Amino acid sequence: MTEEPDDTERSSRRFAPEPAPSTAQAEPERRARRFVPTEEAQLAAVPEAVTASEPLPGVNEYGSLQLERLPVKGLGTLGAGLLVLVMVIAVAELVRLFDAALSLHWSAAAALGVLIGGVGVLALRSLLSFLRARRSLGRLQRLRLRAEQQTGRHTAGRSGGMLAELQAFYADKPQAPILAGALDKLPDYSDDCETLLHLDRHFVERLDREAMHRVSRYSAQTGLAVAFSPWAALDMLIALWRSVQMIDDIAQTYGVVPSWPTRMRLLRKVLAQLTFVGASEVAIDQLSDDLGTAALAGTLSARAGQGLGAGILSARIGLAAMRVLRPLPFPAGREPGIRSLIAPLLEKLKSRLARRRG
Amino acid sequence: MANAFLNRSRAASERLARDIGIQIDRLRDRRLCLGVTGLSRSGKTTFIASLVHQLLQHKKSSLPGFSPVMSGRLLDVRMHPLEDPHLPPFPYRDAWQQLSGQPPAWPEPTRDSSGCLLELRLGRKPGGLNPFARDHFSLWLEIRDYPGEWLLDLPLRETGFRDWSLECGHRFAQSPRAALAPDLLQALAQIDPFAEADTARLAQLQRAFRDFLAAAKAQGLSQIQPGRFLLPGRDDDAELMQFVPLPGLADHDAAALDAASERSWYTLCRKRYERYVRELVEPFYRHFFSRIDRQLVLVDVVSALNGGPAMIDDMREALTRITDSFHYGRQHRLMQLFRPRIDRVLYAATKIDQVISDDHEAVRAFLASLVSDAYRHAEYEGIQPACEATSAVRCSREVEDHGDRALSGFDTEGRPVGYVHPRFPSRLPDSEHWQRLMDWEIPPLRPPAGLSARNDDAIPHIRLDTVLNLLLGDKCV
Repeated sequence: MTEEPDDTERSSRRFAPEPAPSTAQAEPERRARRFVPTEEAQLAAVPEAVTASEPLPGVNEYGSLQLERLPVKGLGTLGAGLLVLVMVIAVAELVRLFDAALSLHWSAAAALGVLIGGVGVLALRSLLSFLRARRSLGRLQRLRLRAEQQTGRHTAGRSGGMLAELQAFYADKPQAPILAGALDKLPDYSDDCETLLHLDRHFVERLDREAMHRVSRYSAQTGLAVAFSPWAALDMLIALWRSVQMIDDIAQTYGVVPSWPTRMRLLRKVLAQLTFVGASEVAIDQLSDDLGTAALAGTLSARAGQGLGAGILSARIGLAAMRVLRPLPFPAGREPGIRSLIAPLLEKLKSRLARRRG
Repeated sequence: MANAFLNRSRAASERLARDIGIQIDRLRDRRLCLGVTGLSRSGKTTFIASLVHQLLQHKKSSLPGFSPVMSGRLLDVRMHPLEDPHLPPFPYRDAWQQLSGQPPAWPEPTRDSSGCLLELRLGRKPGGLNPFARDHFSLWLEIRDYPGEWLLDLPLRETGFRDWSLECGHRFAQSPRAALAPDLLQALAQIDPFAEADTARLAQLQRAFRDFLAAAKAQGLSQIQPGRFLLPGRDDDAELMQFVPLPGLADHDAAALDAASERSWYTLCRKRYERYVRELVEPFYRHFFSRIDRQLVLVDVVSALNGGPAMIDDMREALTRITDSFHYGRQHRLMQLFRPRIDRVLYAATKIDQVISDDHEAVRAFLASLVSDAYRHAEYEGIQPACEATSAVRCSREVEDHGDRALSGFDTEGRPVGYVHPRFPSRLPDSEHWQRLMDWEIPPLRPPAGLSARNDDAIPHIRLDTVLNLLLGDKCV
């Protein structure tokens, strides 16, 4: 069903395009005017209240049917209480153990003391390193917040602090030379909004390209792995593992130092993005053109279809991760769509399947 | 001597016990602070008065969309003064008397801050596991009112004097502000920031600047900074307001300006500006907004659309700048005690009774697009703001006139009036449509006659029950 490429030469011509159908209101426009109402008797009465039970014309009637969630109260407090209880018991036990050791011999007590102290120091150290590991992502988020407040503001002199923060964030990281190059090219007359745009174009977009590259690679891997995996349960594990790896990889592109606590926080934020801000991805409906009857019905088997589904989900996760991790918000309308990721994914799946059959 | 000491310590311990009680209530999710933010003339006082009234009169008012009323669990509502001794009680009684007077009138615009504490007595759902649980509980709701002019000072907290001056310069260079007082703006731009300041001249400039701000406000512009120039508080020190922006600072860099002498224009104005922010704006933010849990933003979309594109842009920017001061997000209740975040935001288009119901949805959609910049910040934290078209007091009814849907009511003199208005757009309209909207003169209506305080009548409203449910519904279970 694939169309043959059209080799015949086109001759140039002009024509008058049909006028676009006017989307404006088809009804005649109302003109403002005043009049004196006649039904005086009715007027004197107090008007009725309009409440949620009276739907508006042209609006879904049952949109306001909502029930409030019934919270299970006290679960968090219960957990905290249990934790404190366990701690108290542990301390009491330790004290008793110490007493027992002391009654045995002083050296046993000393050894126990050293053990307890050592564990305490270890706990403190890991707590500190946990807190330090989170800092990288926290700095990126603060940067992002500042950038978000500045977008669209034609003020001057606010971006200086932000540039310094950006430089400090990327110092000692492989992204530093790209940033330095972008800053060198920064025209001296730009106001804050233009500075952001310049940075976006000359610095962040390069990181975007690399991130897109990585997303594309990972989604193809996930798709293939799922397509060829023998058990369904394994599919999920593969997809999860590759997604976490991908998020880590994207974070590195944008200069977030990978670590375990960062990964957990990122995973949460990415999931939130995926569920809350997925609206722009509605365009996926139009994909049926891309995939087309040719791709889906003809050449792809059911397994490959599953692989495609997993690949698309993985690509969506990747895009959500980019939205979360980008140091500047995406400029309106320039957010990368999922379509650009799907065509290569499909190509890879098809070629691999063909190779397997052939 | 000893007696005085005893008295003082008793008062202090009572205050401490009360504060601890408040914090425990907050921790138990039984106490909420509602932040009502609205620019000046967005109808804040009327809105609060009507909201309080609907709750106090919950037996007679129609609130089918508010979940505790729907399930019959709202037993009683009482109004108390806030625990803060410096905050006068919200003048609810005056407002209600004016609304229900003969002839009815709109409440006076707010000139100073006030607040009230509502106690919602709610029945508990039967069938709990705890046999000792009482069958009803109280939900405490803090509401504070303040002049909308002051709200515009919030962005100043994060702006230095130089940046503020540059912003002012930028804003003044554009229409419609540029045409309001060209002489004054010229004079301000020409001040040499390093020259020695002349206090008499400064006072004269400050007066002219205040008149300029008043003229901008009369035009319907939203960004009027500093807001207290127009409406100082009761105990404000007049000396704090003796400064003007210096738009001429763009030509000098920050380091040179910092080295300016103590008596220069720049240093004098900067010091006063910083004191203004520190002594007036910061306390205002701390008392009114630093602890809010739920936010209600009132926007007078109808008047702004009537004012034209410049007013809409100005309002959009003002709303965006103001939201920067708030923190959004969901978190544990324990954290809420120390660093509160707003977990629900509702944008309400007020005075929707000036528009026929066919257009309510368009106004709502327009509001959503108008504030989309402002709530990007909240959306990033996973908070989905809601938009609603509401009216605190419905003073018109819909009629048919020569085939058009129309509204009728009474004008401010009490004469019956009816009108047809142009169609409202759900997005920024084209220039022809703008012209029709701007040519339309909104007839001022007075509150409906026939409300009587003696008979405990309920004020007719438009969708206040939805507002209440969105703000409070989930806390009433």
